[in-house]
Amino acid sequence: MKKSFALIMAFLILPTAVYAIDFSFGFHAGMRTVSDSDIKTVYGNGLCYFPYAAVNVFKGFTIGGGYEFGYSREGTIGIYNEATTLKVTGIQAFVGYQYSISVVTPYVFVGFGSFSYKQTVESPAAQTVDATKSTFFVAGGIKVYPMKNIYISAEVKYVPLKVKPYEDEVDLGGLRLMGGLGFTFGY
Amino acid sequence: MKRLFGLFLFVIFFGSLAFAGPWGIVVNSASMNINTIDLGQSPPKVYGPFLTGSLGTSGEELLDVAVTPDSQYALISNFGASKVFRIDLTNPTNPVLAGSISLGSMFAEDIAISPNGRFAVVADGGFSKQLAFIDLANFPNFSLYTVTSSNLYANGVAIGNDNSTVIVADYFISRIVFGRVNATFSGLISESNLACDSGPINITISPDGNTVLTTNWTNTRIGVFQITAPGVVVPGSTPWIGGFHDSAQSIAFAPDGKKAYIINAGQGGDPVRLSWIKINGPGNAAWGAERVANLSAYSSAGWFGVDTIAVDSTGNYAIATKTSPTSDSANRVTLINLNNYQATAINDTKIDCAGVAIFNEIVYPPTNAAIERTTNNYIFYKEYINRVSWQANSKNLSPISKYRIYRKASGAADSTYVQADEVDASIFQYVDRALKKNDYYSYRITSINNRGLESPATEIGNTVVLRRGR
Repeated sequence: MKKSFALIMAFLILPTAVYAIDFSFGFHAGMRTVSDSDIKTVYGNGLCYFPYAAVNVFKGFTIGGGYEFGYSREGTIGIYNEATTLKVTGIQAFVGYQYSISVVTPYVFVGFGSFSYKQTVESPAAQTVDATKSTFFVAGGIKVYPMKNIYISAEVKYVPLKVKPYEDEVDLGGLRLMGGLGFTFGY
Repeated sequence: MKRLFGLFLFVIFFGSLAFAGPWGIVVNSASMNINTIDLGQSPPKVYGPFLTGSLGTSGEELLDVAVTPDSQYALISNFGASKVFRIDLTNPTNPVLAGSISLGSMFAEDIAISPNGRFAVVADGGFSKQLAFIDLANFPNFSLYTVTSSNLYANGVAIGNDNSTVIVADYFISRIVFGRVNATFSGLISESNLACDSGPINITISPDGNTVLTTNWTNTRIGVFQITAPGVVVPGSTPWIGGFHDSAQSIAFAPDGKKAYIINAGQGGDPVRLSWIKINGPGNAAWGAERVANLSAYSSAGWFGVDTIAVDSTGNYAIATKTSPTSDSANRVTLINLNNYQATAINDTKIDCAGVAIFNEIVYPPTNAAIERTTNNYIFYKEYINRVSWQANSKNLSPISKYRIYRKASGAADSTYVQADEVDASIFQYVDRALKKNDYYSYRITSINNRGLESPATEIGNTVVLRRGR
């Protein structure tokens, strides 16, 4: 993980010395779906939030990072219907390309994230599930600039996140269907 | 996601009958009733008298008692009425009359029950050549058998641990008769007889089935014989042990067969006493010690075949009564510590105590034990669960207060069983949670009655067949 972030930081910093760059700050909120049927049954889909920052470093090529949070669900689990919670968060970095056509800017990017997940079960038989897993992800979206520096965005992100803290592998991945606002400025 | 489909269970059942809290039963010859004695308490607690008015009328005399090996029934002889009563001892605090037999032409006195509980033999207390063979599997079926090999009387009887050899002592002409029980448990085959020392009134067979001892009243010796094959008896290599000052009424082996304890009549106002002899091997005995304990009993005459001493299964103590019907106000059942021969009168027992036996209170283990292995899906991992269930044993008449569950890893030594839980008697399952995939266990479940006695265990094992599928 340290190497990954060092690489990301290099992408962020090095080009700024050569080209004029745009900075973007935004906030996404939306629905997070879950792929695993058991996760879906017990915890269901939920909201998630994603504040981020990005730099348009060269002719539409963008790098950025953000923090995903908000998926924190409660339910009952197992044959004894014991109370349980599941929380997933993730710090993410991404690189992408965006192409502006008038006030509309579609974009795609790929990223790498470190996702933390924690399950609690109110049971004498419960084991600790509190771990981290890194994975690549992909996303695509569109920005619309109603004003020069303000944009409205919509994005679809897919995170494949298969984890195996014990003997069973579980897919914590899923789609994020999010929308939000952002602010761009350049120098 | 892979799903786990398989499961399940499997049961190995090792039921056994019951456990054992030691109890005594004593018949009261003149008052025509019985007492039970809880020997697990200190001092022993006496219950009863029971069944007064149901076991005959005064003057008939209740004399001997023998208990079936499963401790469920006692057989009691009524001499004058020529009857044998069967008493259900399942709840020793409340014994219940469970049938009777009228023997007709013989006087019921000594009773012996085969070690496997299949049949009983009753010897005559008077001048009769008859024996009564009782088919205990089909009670009250019985047959009268007349000794044929000689002009013998049948005064005392014993049955070997081969469940076949029957030996009868004849006081009057000083012989023993022996043979094998026939296939219908109605008499003897291959009957034969041997001369015995003078006046045998009682007879017993060692736990290993090899040594026979007779209490020879007339010359105060102990006769020694050896069983060499079912129904075959020869004089012992030490034919008799002598030198006792007092005649012997009753004799009982220690559980390990290395000693035999003798109840001697009291002479000239002396109390009834305890002596013992050593058993060196089959048919070989030696003098032990005489008059090692004074009993709380005073009697100088003897009873034919009545067993007035009983040794507990640990060999640590015995209970004993006396040797003949006397009404001395000091007469009581005596508890004897066989390690130091300390003798203690058991309060509340009666002055007319006669035959005595020790049995075990029956506590049955739970029935229909089963184990079901299930999984509990916590998504990231699975909890494996052994759900052990059982049912109350309807044979238990004493109230069951709880069930105790023991657990060991499957395949481990039985000595590694540890108590896992104890549940109220209204609960019939134990759920063993938080098991890992390869945690396999065996369980033992016991019943605990309201007096704290624990049954043997019902044992169930865990054999799991797992199949994976998508």
